[in-house]
Amino acid sequence: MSKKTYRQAVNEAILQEMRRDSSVILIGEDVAGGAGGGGEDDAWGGPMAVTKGLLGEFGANRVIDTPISEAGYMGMAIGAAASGQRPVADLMFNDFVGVCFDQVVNQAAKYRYMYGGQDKIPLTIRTMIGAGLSISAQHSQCLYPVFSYFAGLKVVVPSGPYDAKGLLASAIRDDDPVIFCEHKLLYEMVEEVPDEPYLIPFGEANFVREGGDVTIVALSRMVHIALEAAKILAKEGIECDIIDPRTTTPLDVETILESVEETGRLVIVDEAGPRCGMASDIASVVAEEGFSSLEAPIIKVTPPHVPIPAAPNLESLYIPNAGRVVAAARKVMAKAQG
Amino acid sequence: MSENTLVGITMPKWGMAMASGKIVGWLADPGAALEKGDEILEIETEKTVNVLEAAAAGTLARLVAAPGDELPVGSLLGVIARGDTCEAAIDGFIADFQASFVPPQEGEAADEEPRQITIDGDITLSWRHFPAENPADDTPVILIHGFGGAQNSWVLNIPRLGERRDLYTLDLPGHGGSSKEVGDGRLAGLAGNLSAFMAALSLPRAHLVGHSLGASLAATLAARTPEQVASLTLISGLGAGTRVNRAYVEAFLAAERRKPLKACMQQLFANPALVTRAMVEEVLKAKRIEWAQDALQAIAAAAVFGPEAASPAQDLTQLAAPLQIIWGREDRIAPADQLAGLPATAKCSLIDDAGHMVHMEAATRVNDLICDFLDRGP
Repeated sequence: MSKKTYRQAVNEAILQEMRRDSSVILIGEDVAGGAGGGGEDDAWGGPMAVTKGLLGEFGANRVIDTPISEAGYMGMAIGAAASGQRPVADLMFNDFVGVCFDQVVNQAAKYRYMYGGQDKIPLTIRTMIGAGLSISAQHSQCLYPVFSYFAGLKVVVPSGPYDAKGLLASAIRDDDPVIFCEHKLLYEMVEEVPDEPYLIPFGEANFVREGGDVTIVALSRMVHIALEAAKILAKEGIECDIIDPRTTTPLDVETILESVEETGRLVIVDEAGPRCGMASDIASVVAEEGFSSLEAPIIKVTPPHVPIPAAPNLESLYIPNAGRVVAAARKVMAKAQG
Repeated sequence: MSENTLVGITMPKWGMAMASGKIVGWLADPGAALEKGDEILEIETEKTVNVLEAAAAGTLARLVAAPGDELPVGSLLGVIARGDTCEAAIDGFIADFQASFVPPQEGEAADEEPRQITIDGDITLSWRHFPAENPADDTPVILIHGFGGAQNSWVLNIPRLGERRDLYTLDLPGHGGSSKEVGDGRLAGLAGNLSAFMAALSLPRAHLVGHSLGASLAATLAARTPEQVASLTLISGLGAGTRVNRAYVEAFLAAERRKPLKACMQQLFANPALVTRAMVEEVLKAKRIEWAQDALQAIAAAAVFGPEAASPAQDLTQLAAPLQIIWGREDRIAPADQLAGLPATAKCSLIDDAGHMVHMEAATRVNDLICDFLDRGP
């Protein structure tokens, strides 16, 4: 056990799975460090240096740098998966899925189903989500609700280093395509992470905090915003349950309903947009299956329905913050008491 | 009237991670006459609910903390008065305490990290030392946890046992922060690791306190190298041949998620409500580690399902060391009926309303029994 960053945790999971299973290969733009860029290949390891060091140990046959063609290398990864490899494809920014959408949602997601289970696609797609670096509307979105729409894909949204390592190992060993969403503002986050490999199962939410007054469901980086809010609320005597679903498909509805049954109040904090997002999805599930427990209307804390601004001052207004979560929790408490 | 006639009751520190505790309720009324050791207050921590005892005899003069209060370690909870005191003196005592009390900062509350030592060439063990300021004798006490546990399962015992004894705790091979190599998983091998651990720390002799699997290891070590063992306290375990609930062990090994593991862990206590989410999460984290799961399987295969389970119970009358045995009457993992027919030389205590984790569930009783035994012998 030692303290590791989110970046190190992701790197260690890939490293250990590559050592464990020679069919695990890495495919993507810049995973080795910018082929053709001159200098030492291994120096970069992607724009966030997450795959740094892997080329040195596993060589260019297993750490494969590709040209800038998402459709091309995603197709290559799916083909490799169909023919017995266990690829980890690096879709740098999740916004780039537009370029390879057909490969991901029509090929990878449906392959096993359409061929009657004769073949499988054990593919992991690692990709970066989230706003906060002022890198504009095309590099800052949270598209996990889009991925979650498609039956046949599993979707993972780790909120910290411990979860990132255990969930990525599970993703790589999973026989279905998994989209693994890394929040770019979490790469520097530090936490105790075991040195040994370990697996966190999909579909089991993390009960981050026990409170009993209000249920806050939060995803990815928003878990930390929720924790910040819970500290403020605790001083006012409002104790929050915080639930981090960890995976949006499969979604641990049971744990959410269990908590709402006790609190009767639900606030959902999601960095994805307010329409057709995970917040809407979770709200609909609780409205359908947990309505009788509710003592106040469900409140969604999400960004507005706009493209993500690049200007730092506007971007910080766009991202949900602890103040908005606190206000939402106060409101559901007031409703419940009144 | 001097100040030393007033004694503050403060928030205890149960375990390395404890930074604060929540007052569940007072068990004594204001004005009650207290003996040292009387149960006065129930406190909930992230891990468990436990009872605080009076540290001194006297009158419970003032309740400072109220049920529901969440207070940092060291905070003033109440005041015990000895002899004649007046209200003004108590007010003054409280005011002085509050004025000078500095709550521990975040991070400051944590003890030092466990240390690592390598034995038998390539086995790394995680261990801690709790040195006593004025130890009662030179022989230290080693606490040995049970199957699937870790050294922090002694959190409720360490403060009291450590008052006058040098204490050592360790994570057994395959557990906690220790390496996950357990060989064939048999008691002899693990007891050999324990013996090597003592040698590596230059501890020629120690009082061994073992729980469950840890008790079996302590008894095994006492039979193999009696010169290393000054006394034996066996809690919920008797050595090779201890009868255990196989269904529990199977369920524990198979549990990969919170719910089944919680159901499983509830069998460890007479009062299942003591199993908190945080406790389950901690065990789950340890169990998730692939090599730890392999190690647990190997130990279970040898000690629970394999040759050692079938072997006759270890003959404890052959042991040279003074022996005490502590068991929870409601133990659902290792049934208490196997205590019948134990050697008359052993000091045997069967504790009501406690299950397999008797050292947690009845920590006060168990701590008393261990301290008495170490002070006076059986």
